[in-house]
This record gives sequence, C-alpha cells and structure tokens, in this order.
Amino acid sequence: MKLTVQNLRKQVSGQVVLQDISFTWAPGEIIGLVGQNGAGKTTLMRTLVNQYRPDGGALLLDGESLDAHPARRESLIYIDPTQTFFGRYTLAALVAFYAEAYPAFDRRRFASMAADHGLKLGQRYRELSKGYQALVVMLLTLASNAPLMLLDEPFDGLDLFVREAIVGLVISEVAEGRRGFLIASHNLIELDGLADRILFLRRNTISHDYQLEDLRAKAVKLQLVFTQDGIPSVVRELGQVLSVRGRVVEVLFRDYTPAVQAQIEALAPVLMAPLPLDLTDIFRSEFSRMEGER
Amino acid sequence: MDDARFTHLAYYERLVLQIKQQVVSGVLRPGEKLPSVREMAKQVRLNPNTVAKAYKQLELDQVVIVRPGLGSFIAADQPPAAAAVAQLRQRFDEAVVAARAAGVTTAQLRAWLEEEQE
Repeated sequence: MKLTVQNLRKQVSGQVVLQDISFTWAPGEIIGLVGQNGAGKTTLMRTLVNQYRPDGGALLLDGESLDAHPARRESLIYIDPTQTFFGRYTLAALVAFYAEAYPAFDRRRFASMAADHGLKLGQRYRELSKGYQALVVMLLTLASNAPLMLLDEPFDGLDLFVREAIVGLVISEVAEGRRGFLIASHNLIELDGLADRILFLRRNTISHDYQLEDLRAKAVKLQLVFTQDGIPSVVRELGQVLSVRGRVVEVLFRDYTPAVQAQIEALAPVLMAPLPLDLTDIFRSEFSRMEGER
Repeated sequence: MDDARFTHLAYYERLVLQIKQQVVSGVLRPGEKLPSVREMAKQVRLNPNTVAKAYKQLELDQVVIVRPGLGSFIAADQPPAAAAVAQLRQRFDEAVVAARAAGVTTAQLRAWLEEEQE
C-alpha cells in the first residue's frame, strides 16, 4: 500500500496554508512532520483525511484517487482531539462511533489496552486528565487498524510512563510492517530515533524530505575553535554555523567527506571535536537558513 | 547506545558498535540469541527499520548468524575479516601518526590502549 500526495493545496479563510505538498508514504514508515508553530501541520493532517476539502491536488492510494474511491479513506485515520463532540461522550460511545467508521476496529484490543492503563469504558472523555485524553486518542487510533495512522502532538502533556508506553506501541505496530505513522510534533527529542524520515513543513510547503539515518551517516556536527578571530569563510561555505559561544563554534556539515575534513584540518583548529547530532540541530539548521535567505 | 565516543554516528552504527562491544566484553556470548527486531527496537526506543539495518550490518560483519525463522544469534567464533582488519590497521596507523605529530609519547599511547581494555 502506498499513499501518494500530489500538489495538495489548501486555503483557509482566503489564506494559502498549504501549497505544492507532495510526498509518498507507506506502512512500515514512521514519518515525523516538523515545522514551526502555525506552519500548517494540523491543516495538512485534516486535509489528508478530508476533514478539510483540498482546494487542489490529489490524494492517491495505490494509484487510485480517494475522491473516486471514498471507501479507501478507511485506510487513513486521524483523530482530531479538538473535535467538540468528543467531550461529553463516554469511552464506550467513542468506541462505538469509531467502530462504525472503521470496520476493522478491534473493540477487544481497545478494551484490553484501556484496562492496562486503568481506563474504564464508562468514563467520560472530558472528565479525563489531558494526558489520559491523549492516551485515549492514541488507543482509538491503534484499535482502528487503519494502515496509515496520523498523530498530532501525541506526546503533549503525557507523563514519562504513558509516553514510553505510546512509543512502545508505535514501534510494535511498525515492526510488523503493516502500519505507518505520520507524527506531527514539536517535541523533536521524542521524534529522534523514533522517526526514520522527517518532512519539514516550511512556508506552506514541504521544504525537505530527509531519511534520517542517511543524513546522520553523512553529516557531522563539530565543535571548532580557531586561533584567528572570526569564523574562517571556508567553514561557512562548507557547513552551517549552529552556534557561536566566544571562540567556540558549532558547525553542522551535511556532507562530511574526507575532502571536507581535510579542508577543515588545514585550517589548523585548536579544537576539533565531533558532537552528537540530533534532530534539534537539523531543525535549527533548516530554519536558520530560512532567515539567511530572506 | 549511550557510549559518548560514538554519539556522532548514525543510530544503526551505534547499535552495531554497542552489540560488538557486548560480544567483546562477554555480555553477549556465542550462540546467544539477540532479541527480535521488534523487541530490540522497544528496548532501545529506536525505529524498527534502524534496528533491522543494524542487524543486517552485524550479519555482514559475521558477528551474528541469522537462522531463518529462528532469529539472530551471536556467531560461535568471531573470525576477524581480513579486509576489515587491514582497514582498521590503516586507521590505527593514521591515528598514531597524528598523535605523534601532536607530541603524544609512545608511553601515553600505550596508556590509552590499556585504558581501553579495562
């Protein structure tokens, strides 16, 4: 199964929120959807599941248009926790609602996962804490058995144990290769290691689509100190300066080839030490470059 | 996964090194079964594809043997791959030359090696 998003476009109240959004997504992948606040992450999720009608472009599942084959929309699930109807219902009622929308919904699995976390089917959604509400959204999503699951800020407000439980559930589902996740999160530390691919949403479109392990294998973050004042221009040309503290510069080199290494070494830095590279650095380099372009 | 010396590497490379270290130190013994990709992914909280890639690398490096349908097992003997050894030797020599150029003495180098073995 493969979802193909082609040139998706969406305006909200006359403002272009999404344009030229194109990517493909298959079960077995965990994609992180990353962008600054207001970049359109939630709008993209709502548009993918037809909660918002797209203003242009196409959504294809295995080459078939979802508009022409609406039944195939059951392959995607996005539970929008801000949906106002949610609050007054009991968990049992929410299960009944989603079981109707998703024929493969596994009620027994929902009940057992809910019990694992001390949730009772008679509880009303709005009476739960924020963390448990997020957990219920997650469990409903998983129990739907839809192959492509969209999660919007799934780690928000969760304590350590619930968060670990959710990460464990996501990993288990993906390991089988039958489910894929698209996770919008501003919690980059949570996504690091979990997502194998990152889509950057910037200026209403997808600015980059990274396979993270490829990026990590090629990229290096170095801490550098030079004897002369200022940062040598070669460093700025070959890499992206992430931070400057006194004479200590942190630089990200996206393609750290032996040739690049030799050029840096030729500058005879006083200090040249590799640092751990995490998603935060990639995020920072992505968005600080934007400032430079303006 | 938390060995500070390897944190600049890709996650799959770090997992490969961690498992190799555990084999060298005897934490993992020949014939021992590695957790399934899914279990390992949950343990180390990594994407299953990353773990699968590490397992494949370990198989290529002959550190583990895959028995179809049964899982991945630590190889009975760990034959040093000649090419890998030659490559390591070269990197070692480069490091020694660089260290000498930086004024590191042979005694200091020896001390580093011993620190590593502890």
